[in-house]
Amino acid sequence: MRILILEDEPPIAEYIASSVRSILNEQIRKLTVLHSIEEALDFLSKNQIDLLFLDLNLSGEDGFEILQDSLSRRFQTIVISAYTDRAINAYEYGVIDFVPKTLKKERLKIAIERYMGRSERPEKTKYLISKIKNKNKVIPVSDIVYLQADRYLVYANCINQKKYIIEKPLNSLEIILPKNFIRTHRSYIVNVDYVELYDNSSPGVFHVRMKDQTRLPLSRRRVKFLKEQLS
Amino acid sequence: MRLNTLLKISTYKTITVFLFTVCFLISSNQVTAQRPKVPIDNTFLLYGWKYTVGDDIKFADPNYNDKGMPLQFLEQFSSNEIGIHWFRTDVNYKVNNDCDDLLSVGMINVAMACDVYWDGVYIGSNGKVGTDIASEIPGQTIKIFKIPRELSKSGDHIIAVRLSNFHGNSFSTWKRISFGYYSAHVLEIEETKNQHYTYMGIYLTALLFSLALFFGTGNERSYLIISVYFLLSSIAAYIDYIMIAQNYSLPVYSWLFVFQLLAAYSVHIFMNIFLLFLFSLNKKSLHIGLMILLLALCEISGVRFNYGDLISKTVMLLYSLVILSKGLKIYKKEAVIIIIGVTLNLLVNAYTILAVAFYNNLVMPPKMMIGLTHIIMLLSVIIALSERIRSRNKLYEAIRLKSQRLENELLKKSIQPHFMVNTLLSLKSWLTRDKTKAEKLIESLSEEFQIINKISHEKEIPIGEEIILCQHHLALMGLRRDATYKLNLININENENIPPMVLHTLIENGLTHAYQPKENGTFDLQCKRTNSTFEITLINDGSRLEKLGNKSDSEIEEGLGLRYVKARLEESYSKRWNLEYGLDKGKWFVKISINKPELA
Repeated sequence: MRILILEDEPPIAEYIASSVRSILNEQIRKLTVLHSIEEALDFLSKNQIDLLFLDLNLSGEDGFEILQDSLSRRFQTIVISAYTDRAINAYEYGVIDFVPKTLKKERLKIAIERYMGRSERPEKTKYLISKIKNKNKVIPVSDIVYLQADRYLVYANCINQKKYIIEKPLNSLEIILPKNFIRTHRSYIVNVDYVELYDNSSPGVFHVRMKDQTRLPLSRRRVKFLKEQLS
Repeated sequence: MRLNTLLKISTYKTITVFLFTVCFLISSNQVTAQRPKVPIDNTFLLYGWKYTVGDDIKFADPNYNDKGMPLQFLEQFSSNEIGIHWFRTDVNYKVNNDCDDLLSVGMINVAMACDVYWDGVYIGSNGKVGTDIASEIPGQTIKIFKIPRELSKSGDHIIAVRLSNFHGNSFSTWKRISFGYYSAHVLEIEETKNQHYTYMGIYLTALLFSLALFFGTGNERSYLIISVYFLLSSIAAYIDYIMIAQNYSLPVYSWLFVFQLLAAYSVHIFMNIFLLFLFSLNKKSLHIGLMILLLALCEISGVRFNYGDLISKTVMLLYSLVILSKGLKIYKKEAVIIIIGVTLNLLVNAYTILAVAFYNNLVMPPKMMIGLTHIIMLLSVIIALSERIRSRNKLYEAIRLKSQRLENELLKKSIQPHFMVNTLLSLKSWLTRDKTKAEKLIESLSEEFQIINKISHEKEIPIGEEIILCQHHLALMGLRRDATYKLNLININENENIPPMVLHTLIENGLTHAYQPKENGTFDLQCKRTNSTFEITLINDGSRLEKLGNKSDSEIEEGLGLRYVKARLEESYSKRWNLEYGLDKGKWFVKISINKPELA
């Protein structure tokens, strides 16, 4: 696991790093600690990471823009902040977790488990961020009909026939999206609110028919789960 | 309850009490001046007189031919000649058969001694007319000569007065000869006496009121000056009162008149000095000098002999309007209130001057009217003062609230959760890695909090104390950001005062925006003192300042910190300060100039 810790106060950054190390041990492939946005942006342009620990207030600057930027990227983000009043907002934008800056080790452990999909995350995501021409486009998750993975990219297909590129992999999205989003196939997540029915017109071949009559592939092993959700 | 608190609460109650007192005094005057149960008419002034110098008994003869002689207004008469003089005038009246009272000639302050003739018949003397100072015996201020009933028939009559002035030229003072029933004369004198007594009471009440304002509202000079004005006015009213009540001999009256005149002039000047202070006008000494010059010119020009102090009073009232017109710009409400009082006085004054100048065609305004305009003037001053107190209280409240808000913000800024949480987390980190640093962090944090708790409610603190606070903050932030911050002190007088947390806020700003974590920093604090200005400059380096280098001054946003500093300076020095900031040779500077005199 490649981890980046972005925190402007070195002693606190050091404390987070040691805590993370003690929780993840050998699972860490690389752990980097940086103190400024400039350093972080430079680092991210050259390196891939899986998980970012982000302080929301870096050197007196509001970190929300940085947060949106990080959320538009492929990696997942865990916010560590003293501004607990902004937790709901952060969840809405799809952070894996919001750890208050009392920074108890047990709480940090839960956040990491949520990242790994081993622990349930509060179902609060309302938006996904798509990067269009270097600008962050905020997409309400309620507008997304289904998400389709194509090689390294994920497309969010929305009700207005618009398509947005989401940099995050489907696995990561599965963790942060609300329960009405169901993985129907290794390349698809559908919003059950827009599903009309599922069928198996040909023997052994299953499909999900959306309300706009789009037909999407459905894995056989997911049929039962979808059936439960639709009923 | 302290007196000033009481005054703040009940300014309008105080005015009500004052108005009530004035009404009571006026009404009590009405009671003492009850008319006697005899049918009387009013007395009337004998304005026009024919006059000759030298002793000539024929001047008393009703058949004496005075047709070619000019008629002179008694008030305007100002001969400097010492010796015996004759005056004569004619009266025409119709006998009232229902009245048993005797007709009479009333005299106030006419020369030093006189004999009075009615149709050539001697009817009485005031003192003894003499041919030199030895033979002259001065009379009394007031004297009423009864006319024998058998001589007071309906028709034309001649009143002649033979007088001498060896004991003093009382021509130059106010004088009055009137004609009417004896009881009317007595009543009139009684009324005048009571009127002056009432005015004295009103002015003394106003004096108490203004003194209470002076002591109750932080010893403001304008209230003390208006107190002097009321004191002088009551002294002037008292002199007026005893001049009539005591009926002194005429040389004493002449001396008293000088005091009365001085009191009157002082009253005029003090009213304007009060206005100068009330409206905070500059060059007060120049104004006072100019007013004294104007009064001196009035005195030298001799207009007083004709018009008493009417002209000088008018000049001073016009001067009041000049001051008030300047005051209008800043204190509109108060200025308008007093302008009403001054204008009313001016109108009545102007009319009285015209009445004296054209005594044949115009009637003198009633005394009551002159008295009323005085009271209105006085009330306008009292109401304006109350208005000033009201607006001051409002401003004081606003400043107090602002100050309280600032203090709250200040405390919140220093103990807001993220500051505390981050500091404690740093502490947690240092505890596991370096206990000495952890101890230092706890020390700096507790020192910083103790100082903030001590100074936050102060308006000003010695800069030395603020520097200690900053040093603790720098030590704390150094531990939090794993860096060393230095504060260089250049030319510091630790006893100079500044508002609390100003330097602390500026340093906090510098730490947040200028340095990368782990980057060491230097702050230079320099003070400069001239006679009237105290200047503080704080300069800091920092690698993040490069970012600002490409921005213009207007693009550099003014954050909460600078806004806070400005609010503090405004609260403490109201417009007497200046703040500059920006980049200079790659360093950030903030320069505060405060216009305040050096400490003794």
